[in-house]
Amino acid sequence: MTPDRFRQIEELYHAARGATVDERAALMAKADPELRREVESLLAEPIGGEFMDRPAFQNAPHLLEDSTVNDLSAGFCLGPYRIESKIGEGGMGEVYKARDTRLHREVAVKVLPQSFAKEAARERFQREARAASALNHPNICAVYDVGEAAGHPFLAQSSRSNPTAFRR
Amino acid sequence: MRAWSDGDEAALGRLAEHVYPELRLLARRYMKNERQGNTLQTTALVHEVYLRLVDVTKVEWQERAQFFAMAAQMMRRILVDAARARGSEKRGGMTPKLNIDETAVLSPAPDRSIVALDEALTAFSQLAPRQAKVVELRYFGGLTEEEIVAALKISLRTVRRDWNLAKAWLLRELSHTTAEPSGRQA
Repeated sequence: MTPDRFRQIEELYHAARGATVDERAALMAKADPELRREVESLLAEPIGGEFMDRPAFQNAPHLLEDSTVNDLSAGFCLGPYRIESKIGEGGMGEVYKARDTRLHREVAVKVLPQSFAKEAARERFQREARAASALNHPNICAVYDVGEAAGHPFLAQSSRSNPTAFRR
Repeated sequence: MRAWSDGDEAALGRLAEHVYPELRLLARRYMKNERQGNTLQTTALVHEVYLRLVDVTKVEWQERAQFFAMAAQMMRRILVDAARARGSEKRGGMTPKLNIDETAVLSPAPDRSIVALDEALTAFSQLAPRQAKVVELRYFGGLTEEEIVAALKISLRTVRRDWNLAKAWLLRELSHTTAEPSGRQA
């Protein structure tokens, strides 16, 4: 469709919307069949109470949540780590209490949201893992493992320390 | 922000980098409030991001409107990206978390309709850029009519007319794309 054609449709649509039934019929009679069809199909669309009258944000609030939060459910296995429950979440990920099924010990698994699983964020995550693993201090959680499973970059840490220590 | 109001495009880009994560973060917080029974207000959300990033006393109403317009564009991207991500997630791999009780009542297929609307709006903007912008500001940004008047520098009457036509146009396009083979041909 050309912009000119669009302008014709627009003009007739607005004129017809504000017109009485008779006036509308007269306006339509003057238009060519294709233009008439276009405008009639637009006029047939409902005017109010449509989903578009509410902002997108309200129509689909779940999108804002699920896109940034993985919310792994109990029993889900990230590699050898079986998720038990969520301990906390922050801007850069969530922390879960999990079980290392090989070593049979409890770990804390920090999971990067999938929506953040892009190169830059992944790089930052791995850098953090390397930095943390180089440290050995009672108040800093020991890093056991870093990896990726089912599209989730994760970090397995000692669960002994205060979980808030690695929340952001 | 000051540099941006002086017309510095790079400054606008830098500001956008701050706005995007802020918007995301606040949107998530709003979601939690919503769960607790508070009403969600997109405009309020955009305003709050604005207040957090900008020294309001130094900014003109006009710049404020431009800021809202940028935030609306980002909100569109955030929602559409999320809807796309969920769509592909459902096709393979992870089990999605379903909040059927909350979302089903709002819209029968919100993810699909958001992506479809975004595509229809992009196509529409080729024909009618201003009208498409009105939709972006109002539907994705949740801006009021007055804010759209200020952002686009058009009259209130034009805002209303553009919205009516654009909405009819997009709803018609959506009914084409969501119709099954038995539906009418475009």
